[in-house]
Amino acid sequence: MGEIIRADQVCMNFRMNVNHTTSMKEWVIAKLKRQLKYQDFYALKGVSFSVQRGEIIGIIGTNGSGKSTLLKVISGIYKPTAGTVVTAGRVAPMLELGSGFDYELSGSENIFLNGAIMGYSEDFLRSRYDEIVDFAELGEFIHQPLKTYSSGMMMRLAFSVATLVDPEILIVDEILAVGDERFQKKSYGRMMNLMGGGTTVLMVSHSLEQIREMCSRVLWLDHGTLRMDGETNAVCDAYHQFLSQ
Amino acid sequence: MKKEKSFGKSLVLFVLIYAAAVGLFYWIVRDDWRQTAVVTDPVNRDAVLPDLNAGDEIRQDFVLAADQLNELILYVNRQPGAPAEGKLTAEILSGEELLFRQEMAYGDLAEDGQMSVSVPADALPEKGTLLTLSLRAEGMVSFWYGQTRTAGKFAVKAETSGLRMNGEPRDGELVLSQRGSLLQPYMRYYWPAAAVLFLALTAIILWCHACAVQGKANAINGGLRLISQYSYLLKTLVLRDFKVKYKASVLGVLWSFLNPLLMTFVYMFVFSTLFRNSIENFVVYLMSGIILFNYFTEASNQGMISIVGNAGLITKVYMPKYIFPISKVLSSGINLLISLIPLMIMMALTGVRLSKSLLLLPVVLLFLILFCVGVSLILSAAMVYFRDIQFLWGILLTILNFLSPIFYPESIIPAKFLTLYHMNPMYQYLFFMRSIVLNGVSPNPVTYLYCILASGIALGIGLFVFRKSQSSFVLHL
Repeated sequence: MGEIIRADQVCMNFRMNVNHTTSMKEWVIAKLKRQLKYQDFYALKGVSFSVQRGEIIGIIGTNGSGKSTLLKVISGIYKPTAGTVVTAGRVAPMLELGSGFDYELSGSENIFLNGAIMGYSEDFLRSRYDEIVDFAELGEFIHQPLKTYSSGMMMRLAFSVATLVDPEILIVDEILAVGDERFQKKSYGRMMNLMGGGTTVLMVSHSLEQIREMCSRVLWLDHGTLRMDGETNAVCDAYHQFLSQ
Repeated sequence: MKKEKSFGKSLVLFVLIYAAAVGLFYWIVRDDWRQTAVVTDPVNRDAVLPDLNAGDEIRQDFVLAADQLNELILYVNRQPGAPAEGKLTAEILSGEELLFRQEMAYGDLAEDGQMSVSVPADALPEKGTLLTLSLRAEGMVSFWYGQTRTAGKFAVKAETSGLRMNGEPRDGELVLSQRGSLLQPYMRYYWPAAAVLFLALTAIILWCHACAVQGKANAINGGLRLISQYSYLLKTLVLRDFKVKYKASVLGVLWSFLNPLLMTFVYMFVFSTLFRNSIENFVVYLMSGIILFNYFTEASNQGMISIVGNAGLITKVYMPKYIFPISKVLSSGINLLISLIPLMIMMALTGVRLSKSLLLLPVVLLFLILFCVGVSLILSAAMVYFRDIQFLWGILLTILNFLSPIFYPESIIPAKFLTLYHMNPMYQYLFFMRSIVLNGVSPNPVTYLYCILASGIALGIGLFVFRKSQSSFVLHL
């Protein structure tokens, strides 16, 4: 076991430029006129928690409560304005499936591209290649350029790559509805497999049902602060009550 | 224990590779760094002096421009059908002291009038001495002189002096070119410099190793770890860019080959019909310039938009962002390598002799690639904050294109601007390239120093700017 993620007083401040200067001329003029106004927006205000290896954490909260920002901070995309996040493993983000795909390349080329983006070695990807192709059920299409794929095929491929490479930390942002019902069942099974196999999972979902079913612990974010952190049913009940108020 | 052993092995490997590299480099540059050729630029052939009759004498003062003068080139004018009897006497004097004399029969003079006075080794004093060339003959022969020089398309008035006929000073100057070589001191410092570099590199390696053993962080180790961790991603991105580039085109990769060829023909057509130029082997001159500058244009433009263009990825997945500009510069590098093939073909067709200095091609390309990486890092970071950069850069590239000797000879630049002109890094890379491709000699160490400085400064600023700004990229994309 052991600690795999530690977030300590994480703050994320988005400094919003009220003037929206994107050209150098505008910026210089605004600077000279002292009209460069910023508006501070704190998406996270001092969030602290720690995650043990193998835990399945659900993150809930209303829209704009900072869930996605928290996931991005953990996966290293955002550098926190204040506070620290320490992760002790390879993070596989599934923030948006297929964000690393190139539509001109074939499915198989994209498997290697996407795997490389997640930081895997060529040998490792080769050893998993067949499994990934089988799981995605793309058949002969695997050698066609991605632009010929339907959106369902694309999602299946993305899901297969993201989950078949044994990530240590898997970050899932509302993406369990992949493909048709049969594939959804299969991907659900795959997720359960991963969770049983020791992968640490952080998932954001608006479906309390799903959270109750899969997670062992839930974080409830409310306007950038951690409102509740505890056992799944307790947090979900409290959240449910909060919503129905 | 096992780790220590493998470190010892790699240290031995380093020593062997270093020794081999230094030895190979010594073999390549040995002769080129010992002496460089000098050919002085004569005035234009504007007019002919009066005939030299028996007893007449032409004298021309000149400052010795070479450590070893091999020959003086003069232009003789003889009437068609003039008798072949008689002889011409050329003497080189220092003050009134005779240093050397050569006599030539009229019959031996070449048809086109070019005449060479070949000077034996050790006949002349040291470089910078004022000498006098004295010419005497027995009639029916005269010499070309001039008052102008050619600067590109134009003839400009030249400062001339030192021409006398029978003791009478005259305006203008004999058309006289000195050919010889300058002795260079560089090779004296070769082995000491190689030893110092070796000690410095060894010290760095040992320091990094000590840091790694003690588990201390260190910029070089950290960088190396990142490189080894993400080398596969880099390779994949480079190959992707290259594959996608020509995906939908019929000729595909052939375009990398055709593009410089076609551009060279266009420039050739324009510049050999509209402008007069005195460049030897203009095709190869032009093509080497076009290839290098095209690469710079493509790499910097691609690198510039690499961060903004990968916004979708950068806002969703974590990875070192350096990889985007670097992969763009490298994938353009594949094009650069392919476009060297038509250059080699042109060199073969125009009969450029192959020399060992061509082995220096990777060196100049490496300098250029590092320079492009630096520039791309700066541009891609700036582009995130100000999208205007792309328009500004387009204009700057055009200016730089005209400020680099791509399709014109360097000689059209007025002497007073030359120092400034040489500050352009692209000039240095072009000079290096042409030196090895056209002249078959390694440039002297000053050019290497310029190139190292230009690449190093660009890379240093690029890494600094990028490092400072990369964590806030994602907030501005």
